[in-house]
Amino acid sequence: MIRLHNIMQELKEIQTLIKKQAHYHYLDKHIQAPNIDQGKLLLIYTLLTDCDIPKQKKEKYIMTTMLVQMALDTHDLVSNNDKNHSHIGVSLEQQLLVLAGDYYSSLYYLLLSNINDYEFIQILAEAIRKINEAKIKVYYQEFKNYEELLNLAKTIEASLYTHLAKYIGEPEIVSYIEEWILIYTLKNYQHGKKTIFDQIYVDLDAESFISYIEKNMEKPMIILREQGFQFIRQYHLLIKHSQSFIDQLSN
Amino acid sequence: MKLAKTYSYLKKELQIIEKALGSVIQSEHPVLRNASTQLLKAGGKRIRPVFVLLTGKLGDFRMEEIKTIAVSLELIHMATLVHDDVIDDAELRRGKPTIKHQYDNRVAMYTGDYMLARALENITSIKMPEIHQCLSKALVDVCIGEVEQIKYKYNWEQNLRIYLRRIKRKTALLIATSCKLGAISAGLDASDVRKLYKYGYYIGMSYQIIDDILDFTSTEKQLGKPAGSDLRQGNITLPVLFAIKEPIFFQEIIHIFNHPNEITDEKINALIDMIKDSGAIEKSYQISNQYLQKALNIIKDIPDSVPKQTLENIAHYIGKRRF
Repeated sequence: MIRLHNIMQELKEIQTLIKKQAHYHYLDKHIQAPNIDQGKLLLIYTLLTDCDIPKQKKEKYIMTTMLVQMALDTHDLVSNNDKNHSHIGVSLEQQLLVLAGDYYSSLYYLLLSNINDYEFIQILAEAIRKINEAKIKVYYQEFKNYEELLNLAKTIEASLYTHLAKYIGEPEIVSYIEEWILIYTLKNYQHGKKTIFDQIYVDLDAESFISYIEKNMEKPMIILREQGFQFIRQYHLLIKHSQSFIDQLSN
Repeated sequence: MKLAKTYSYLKKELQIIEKALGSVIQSEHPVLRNASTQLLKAGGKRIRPVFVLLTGKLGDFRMEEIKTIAVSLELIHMATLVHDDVIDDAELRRGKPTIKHQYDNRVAMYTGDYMLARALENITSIKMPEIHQCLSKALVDVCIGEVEQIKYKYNWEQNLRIYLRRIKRKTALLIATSCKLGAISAGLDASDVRKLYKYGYYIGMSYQIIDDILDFTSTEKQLGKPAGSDLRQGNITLPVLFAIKEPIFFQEIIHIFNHPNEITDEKINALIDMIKDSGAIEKSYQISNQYLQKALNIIKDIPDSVPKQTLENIAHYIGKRRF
């Protein structure tokens, strides 16, 4: 319980640092404060917990990965819908969402440049490239079945974290991260939160998709439960407490 | 004389950079690939690569490194253009349909993010702290400049200082950074690197002021978009800042923009005529020329060479640019 309390405290501090870094008065005044994905923050924290790198560097890795996640999430909020135009053009909120995403991206580059970590800049940039290539495939409905769609979702949602895992020398947990993130994303979708599946503009047969999800979530859940590494067990422990955890973090 | 003539001897190197640009944006996905290539083929003056090349030639010239820097700078510039077109809801850029217009906002957002990622993947093959610290700082400032541009839209009471700070971030910083990165790569000493950075800054300021003038004085054909586009979008540029000191113009512009639904081409054209008649264009050219003079002064102590002569010629050319 004490450990959980410490973790929570540390995560709160990191979250405050990220918010402080991302703050820009005019953006914060006119667009909703960017969402720091709590589940992904927990994931990356856990990934780095037992990793043999200095604390300050760990902090930078968490901050920059989350800034990139925020940048991508913020750009996903930019509407395709012409109704968001005001009488004198694109609405202020839409314009600032474009710029906020760019701003968070530039901060990731700045923070890592300041510690001369070119390799990690490259790792995150590679992940961003792959994510955008997968996003456009989802957008153009380039999947033959739900399985392919879920594989694209894995790339979109998990690439930042799988790239980090490989970078810190934990390639064996990549598939577990992917399964975890998939479950996390699908749960979010089931609970009506905004996910990559909302980008699909032609009819996604929601009922059959959810039933497919329910069936297919069992398998990765079993894999994670039965074969979970230390990382996964730890993550399970955190996730078990996640709701109260996230509630407290959000306050 | 065309600007390109002043550096025609760089043709071969510019072709190498152009080819590298084309190959860096070869995405696995055809839409991202085509959208990026379309933007690349729309052209542009490639002024940033030119400055990287020229300053890189002032010392120990290393083409591979220079190519990497130039490609990344141009990609960053292009990525910001793709996103700018979403912000401005622009249909045309350099007379060609924008990615946002030809595809949609979503594709434009993905393309811009993809290009920025490619720029960073590319530049990180260079392991020089100064390069990344300078470029990343510039990138953050460019983003802040874009936000500030929106913040001051339709603000008719902004002052000259705000305008200058805005164009510094919008244009001058990336040109200054181009000069600095080329100079660092060439191994020039800190003092010359600083001078070349300032040269790029002054040139960038002058370049943007003239761009802002040309928005009123050029034709739609020359601009590739309707004249007065900046004003229509509420961007208050130097000629407007000068013209607005005239009470009659101030009242007229307030009156027109207080009824945004009733803005017509005729009303914008009338405002453009008033700006031209007010002497604002001439005053803006004067400010631009002051920056060019500073640009020429700051590099006068750098040893004479062909690339230095070209830097001077570019400054002279920019002063005479009329479209």
